[in-house]
Amino acid sequence: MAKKFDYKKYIVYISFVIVLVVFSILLRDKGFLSYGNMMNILRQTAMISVAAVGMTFAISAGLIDLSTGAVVAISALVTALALRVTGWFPAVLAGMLAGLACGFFNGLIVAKVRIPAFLVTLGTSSVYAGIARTITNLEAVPITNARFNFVFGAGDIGPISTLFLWTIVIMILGHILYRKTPFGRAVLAVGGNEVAARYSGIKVEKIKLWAMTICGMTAAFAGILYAGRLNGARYTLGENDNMSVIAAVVIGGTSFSGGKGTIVGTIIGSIVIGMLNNGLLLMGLSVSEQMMARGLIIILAVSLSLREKIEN
Amino acid sequence: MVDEKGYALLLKDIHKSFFQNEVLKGITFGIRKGEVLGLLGSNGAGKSTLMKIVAGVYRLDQGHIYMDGREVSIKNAADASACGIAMVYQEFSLIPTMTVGENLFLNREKKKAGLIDDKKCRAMAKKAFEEFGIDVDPDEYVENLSIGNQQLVEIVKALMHKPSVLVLDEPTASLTHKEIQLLFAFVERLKKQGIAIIFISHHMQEIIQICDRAVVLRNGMVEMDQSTSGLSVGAMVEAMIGKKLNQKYLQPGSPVNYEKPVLRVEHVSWSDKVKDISFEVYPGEIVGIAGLLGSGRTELAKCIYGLIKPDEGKVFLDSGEVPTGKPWMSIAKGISFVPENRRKSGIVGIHSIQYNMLMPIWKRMTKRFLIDEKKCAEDAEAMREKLQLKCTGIEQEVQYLSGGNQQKAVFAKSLLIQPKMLLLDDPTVGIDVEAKAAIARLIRSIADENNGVLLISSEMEELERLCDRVLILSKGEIKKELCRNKGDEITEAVLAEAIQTA
Repeated sequence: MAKKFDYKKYIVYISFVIVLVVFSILLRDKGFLSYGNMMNILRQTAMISVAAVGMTFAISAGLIDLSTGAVVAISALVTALALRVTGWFPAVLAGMLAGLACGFFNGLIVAKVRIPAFLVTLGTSSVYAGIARTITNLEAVPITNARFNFVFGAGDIGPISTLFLWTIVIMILGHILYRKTPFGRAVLAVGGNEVAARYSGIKVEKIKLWAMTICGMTAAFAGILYAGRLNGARYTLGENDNMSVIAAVVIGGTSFSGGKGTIVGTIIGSIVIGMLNNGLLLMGLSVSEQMMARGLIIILAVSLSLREKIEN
Repeated sequence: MVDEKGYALLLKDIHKSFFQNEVLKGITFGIRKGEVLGLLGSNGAGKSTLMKIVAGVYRLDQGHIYMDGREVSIKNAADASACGIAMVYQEFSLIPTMTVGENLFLNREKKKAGLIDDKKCRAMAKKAFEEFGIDVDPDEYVENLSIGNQQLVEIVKALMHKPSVLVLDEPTASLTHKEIQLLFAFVERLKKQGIAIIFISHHMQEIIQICDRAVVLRNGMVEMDQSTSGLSVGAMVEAMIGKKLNQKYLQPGSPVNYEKPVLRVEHVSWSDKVKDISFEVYPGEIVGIAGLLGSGRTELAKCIYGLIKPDEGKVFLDSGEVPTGKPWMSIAKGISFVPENRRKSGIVGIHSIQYNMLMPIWKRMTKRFLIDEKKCAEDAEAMREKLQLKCTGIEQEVQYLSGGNQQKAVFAKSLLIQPKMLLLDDPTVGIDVEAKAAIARLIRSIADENNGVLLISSEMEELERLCDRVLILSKGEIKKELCRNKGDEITEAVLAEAIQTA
C-alpha cells in the first residue's frame, strides 16, 4: 500500500482555503474580502471560538457537551444582572462562576454516576435552558456599563476588535493547558484509551470532571463576550451555537472519539464556520435557506475530517 | 517443482513487496486435503502478509495460487471466499450482543416472505453444531459464552461457507488448556471431513501435537517444511531464529537478599476470587505466579497495584504501607504493572511512543508547571535505546509497532516509573520467540538491580526460565510454593503437574 498524502491532517487548512476562495469569487462584488468584513467575521466568530476551546478538551477526553448554548445564555444573563449592582470585574466573575457551576455539575454526573456525557448534557441542556428563561422571566437585560461593553465586545483597539484579542488570549491559554501541562496529556490519554489511562495511574474521573468544567467555563466566557458585543443579554443567546461549536472542533482536526486534537485547529475551524455564516448571509439567502445550507456544508466538512479509512 | 495436483491449496513462488521492501521472496508450499499444516515464523517473517494474500486482503506481486490443481486469482475477500478459503482471525468477528444463531447467519439470514425466518435459522444453527459435535446453545448470547466456545462458534461460522481450506490465526492465544484440547478435538474432526487446515501459532508444542506438517518462514522464505513426527521444538526454534536459543533458567546476577522484603502482601482478600493471600517478594527476586485462567492471578495483581480495592488486607512496600485501591499511589511509591492485554489496557494506540512511555509520570516531567519537552524526549529516547525498541522514532504511533515492540513500549512505561516492585501479567503473550527472549533478559536485569518482580504467566517455560520462586495459585488460594533456594526444582514439567493437581 502506497502511503497516501494524509489530507486529514491538513483538512482544516484545506477547508479554510476552499471556503475563503469560494466566497471570494461568489461574493467579489459584495466586499467579502474587505478588511471590514474580515474583522466582522472574526468578531462574529469569537464566541464560537472561545466555547470551542473548552469543547476541544471535552471531546479530546472522549466526552461531549451539548449544554454549551444554554450555559452561554445563563452566564450572559448572570453577568448582565450583576452589572446592575457592581462593577465589571465582579460581574464577569459571577458569570464565570455560573458557567463553572454548570460545567462542574455536568462533570460530576459524568464522572461519578458514569453516564455518557452525551446523555448527561442532553438532559442538562434542557435544565440550563430552563434556568436561563427563569432568571429574568424571558426579559432581556440591557448593559449600560460602557467599560464592560468596550472591553468584552464592542470595542476596537486600533484596527483590531477586542473580541478577536480575547479569542487569541483564550487560544493561547487553551493551547498551553492542552499541549504543555500534565493535565492536557492526561486528557488525551483518557480520550485515547481510558482503560490504559486508568492502568497508568491517571485519575480518570477527576480528569473528566475538569474537562467538563473547563468546557462550562469557556461557554460562560463566550456568554460574557456575547453580552459585551450586544450590550445586553437574553435567554436566546447561544441558542443555535452548539452545533457550530462542535463542528468547529471536529473540522479543526480533533478526533471525535477522543485522544487527539489541537487548539489552533479548533480556532481555524471556528473561523471556517464564521466565514460560512457570514458568506451565506451576504449571498442574500433567507434565514431558513442559510440554516439548510450551513447544515449541509458542515456535514460535508465534518465527513471529510472524520471519515475513517475502511480497512481490516 | 511441486506438482499442482493433489493439493487443496498450493502456493507457488509468491512474491510481495511493500515499497522497496521485499517481504515475501518466493514462497512455495502446498497443503493436502485433510492435512493440518502448522505455519510458524517470528514477527516480520511474512506469515501475516502471506495469509492476507491468501485471504484476498493484499494482492501478490508475482506467483501463482492453485486450488485443487486449478490456478485461481484472488483479488479480494469475496474471491477468496468463493474459492473456498475461510479465515478465522485472532480478533473475534462475532457480535457479542447477538445470539450464536444470529451471528452464524448474519447477513445471510434465511428469509420467508421477505422477513427473517428465525425458526429455520435456529434449526440450521442447531444442526450445524450437532454436526460438528459442539455443545453450544444457538439461542445463547455470544457475550455469555466462554472465550473457548466463542472461538468454536467463530470457526463454525467460517465453516458455514463450506470451505476447502480453513486458516486459523493463533486460535489458542486466549484459550485455557481444557479449551485448547476441545479445539484440537474439533480440528481432528474437520480433518476427517477432508478440510485442509492452516494453523498459525507461537506455541510449538501445539504445532507438534495437532499438525501433520510444519512450515517455518524466516525473512520471507520457507526455512523448513517437514513432517512433525519426530520434529523437536528446538529444531523449529532454530529454523525460526536461525540460531540456538538457551531456554533454560537465567541465573540472577547476584544472590537474592532474603533479609528484608521489598513487597509484603498481608491477608489480601477480594470477592471470591482472592482468598486471604499473604506472601513476600525480596530484592533481586523474581517470584512467579502459576495458575490457570480464573485462578485469581490477575485479580491478585490488580489488588496489589490498586486497580481493585481488596475487601481486606494490606500491601507494604519497603515496610511502608501502600494505600489500596489507588494506582496513582502505588506508582508514587514505586509499584508498576504491565497488564495482560496490551491493546486494551497497556497502550494508547493513536499516541506516540513517547506519550505512551510517559503517561504515568507527566507530573514528574514538568519545569515550572509546564512539560519539559526536552527532558521528555531525552528520557524516552534513553529508554527506547535501553530496550532496543525498534521504531522510526519516539514520535511514531504505537499502533504501528509490532506486538513485541508494543510490549516493549509498555515495559518502558513501567520502568520509567522507576519501580522497586514490578508486577507482570502474562507479559509475552502473542509475541515472537526472539522478542520473548529479549523481554526475559530484560526482566532478569530489572530484578538484578535490586528490585522485586512478580511474574504471572501461563507459559511454563517462561516461569522455568525466570523464576527464583513460584507460587501455585488455584481458586484464589496459594496451594504450593516452589523455591529453587530450598532445593525445589522449577521446570515446565513440575509446574504443569503442580497446576493440574493444585
